[in-house]
Amino acid sequence: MTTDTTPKMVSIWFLVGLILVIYGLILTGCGVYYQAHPELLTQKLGELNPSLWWGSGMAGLGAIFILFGR
Amino acid sequence: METTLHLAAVDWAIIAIYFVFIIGIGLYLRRFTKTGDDFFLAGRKNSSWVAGLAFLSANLGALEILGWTGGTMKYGMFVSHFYWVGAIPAMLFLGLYMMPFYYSSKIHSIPGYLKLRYDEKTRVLNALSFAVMTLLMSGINLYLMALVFRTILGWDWHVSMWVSAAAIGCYITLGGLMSAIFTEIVQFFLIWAGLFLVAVLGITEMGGIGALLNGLPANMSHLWSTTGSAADNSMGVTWAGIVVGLGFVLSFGYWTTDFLVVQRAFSSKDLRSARLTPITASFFKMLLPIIVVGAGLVAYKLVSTAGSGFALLPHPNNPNELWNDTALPMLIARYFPAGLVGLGITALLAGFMAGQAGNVSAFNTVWTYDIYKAVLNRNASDEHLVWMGRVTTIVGIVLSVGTAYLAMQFNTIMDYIQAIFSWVNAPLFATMLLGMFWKRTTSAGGFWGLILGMLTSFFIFLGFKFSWFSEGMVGRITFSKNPSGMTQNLWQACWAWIVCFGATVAISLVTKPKPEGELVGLVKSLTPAADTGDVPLLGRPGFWAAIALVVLVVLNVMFW
Repeated sequence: MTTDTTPKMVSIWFLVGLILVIYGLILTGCGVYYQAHPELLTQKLGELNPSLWWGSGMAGLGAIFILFGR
Repeated sequence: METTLHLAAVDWAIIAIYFVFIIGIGLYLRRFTKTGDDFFLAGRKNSSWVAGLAFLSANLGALEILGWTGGTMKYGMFVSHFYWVGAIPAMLFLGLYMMPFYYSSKIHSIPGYLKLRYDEKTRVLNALSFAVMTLLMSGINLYLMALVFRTILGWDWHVSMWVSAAAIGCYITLGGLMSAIFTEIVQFFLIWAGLFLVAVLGITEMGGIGALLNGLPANMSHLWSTTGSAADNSMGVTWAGIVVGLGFVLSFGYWTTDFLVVQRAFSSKDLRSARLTPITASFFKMLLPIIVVGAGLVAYKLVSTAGSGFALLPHPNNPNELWNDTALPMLIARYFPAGLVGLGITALLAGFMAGQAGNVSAFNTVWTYDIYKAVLNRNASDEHLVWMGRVTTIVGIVLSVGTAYLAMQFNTIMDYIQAIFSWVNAPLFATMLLGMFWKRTTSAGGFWGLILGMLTSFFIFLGFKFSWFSEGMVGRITFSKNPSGMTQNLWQACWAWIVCFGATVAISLVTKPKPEGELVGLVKSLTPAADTGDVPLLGRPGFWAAIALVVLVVLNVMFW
């Protein structure tokens, strides 16, 4: 009897989730920092602090992908 | 040199993570890449979701994103035609009617089908022309990427070109098509994550979608109402040019025969998944104008508004001309703080690299199976072919970098791309269509029809380029007195298709067809229909194609 020694491949959705979580957390961190230092947000619509909500959205979506792709 | 975007440490970190991540994927997948099927067809085990997103992502290169965002400033919502009528019907046709013949014949490439349906010389002709086209595309992709990053970030364009080319070469050499597909899907999400926000913030600044569209001239804000006469729209094309040239010849020529995208469907685990691949992709394709047209219209409005503080950069090759392709990077500079800038630049990099990886993985397969194994080494072992695929990947990367230097000679890159499609893909679609749906088509008809179609396209291209045609002749070819470059390309493709179709039919009628027994599984009338009796409605390709078609019609009516 032979045994299949090929390792199981990780799901692509897990990898998508991983990169979204990594980037989402970095951006959320930036957003929190900008919240404390609003003078740094000199761009148009900077008052919306897009890093904070977009970053947390990406992290949340990434977490769903990780759960889905495990 | 002075630049517009400045990267902070966090932006560099985000870019560095991207490179580490995609090369890591290649290293990880190397252990799963042992046979030819693994390397060139990703093991044939992907779902329609995986193959579908990769199918779209391979098409979603830099030219798509930057070119058409800039194009929107010139053509307005007309650009949506390239995403809707110029893509969706062809994608659905591929899934519903052509994929069964491609997938079931277990070929590795589109030229592989030509070998089975016609003969070896037709296969090699197409393989050679596809290989040349792919390298040209690849070179243009690299050139544009380097030029953009040099213009907006001040990066040395030689360095950025070689670094991204090396990363792509690395992960495809390691993991083959599976690597390309995995990274393309990651890139798909990064493109949306990085660039969708540009459109959202732009539309927010404009005061909403209604305010954005309000005040635009009719030829910028409508799809069809200004196509009665070529003089009424900025593209200089009539509805017939859009429907026949773009919606039929160019679109079907690209989406149904271009191996770069179709290869992703070949990686599916079964026929149903393969058929669903382009249908799944069609829904995401229809969404892309949100980014491209949305951001382009925002840029158009900002440029038209005095005191907006928004300006395009001059073209580095022609400082007197504003470069529309910088619209998207300039919007990133307008709205994104540090951190998000890194994400936006990573999204652009991902877009460039996804298109590039598509070219390289298609090139290595066509070279290995349709030129090397077909002509140079017919007895090559599977192991040797995998080795050849890896070597070809590196050679292809080096050649495309060389091609990038040649691409600098051309000013209007998008028009040039359309011209390349016309030479190779437009006539090939006639060859495929007749081959699949008319059993009387002969090998001689297919081969000589294809050659005549390609020569027609090339001759018309040269005629326009070197002004060989009189004004009256230009009018008869394009049905327009002052056709734009885009219009010339659309009609050039049409004539190439017509000549190929007509010549193939005529030659087939006077030459001997293949025995019907050899055409089973390759021609519709000789192949039993796929049995879908036990598949639930929600799993049927026909059902989802019908939904996609309804969405397409609704979108066109909404922006009529």
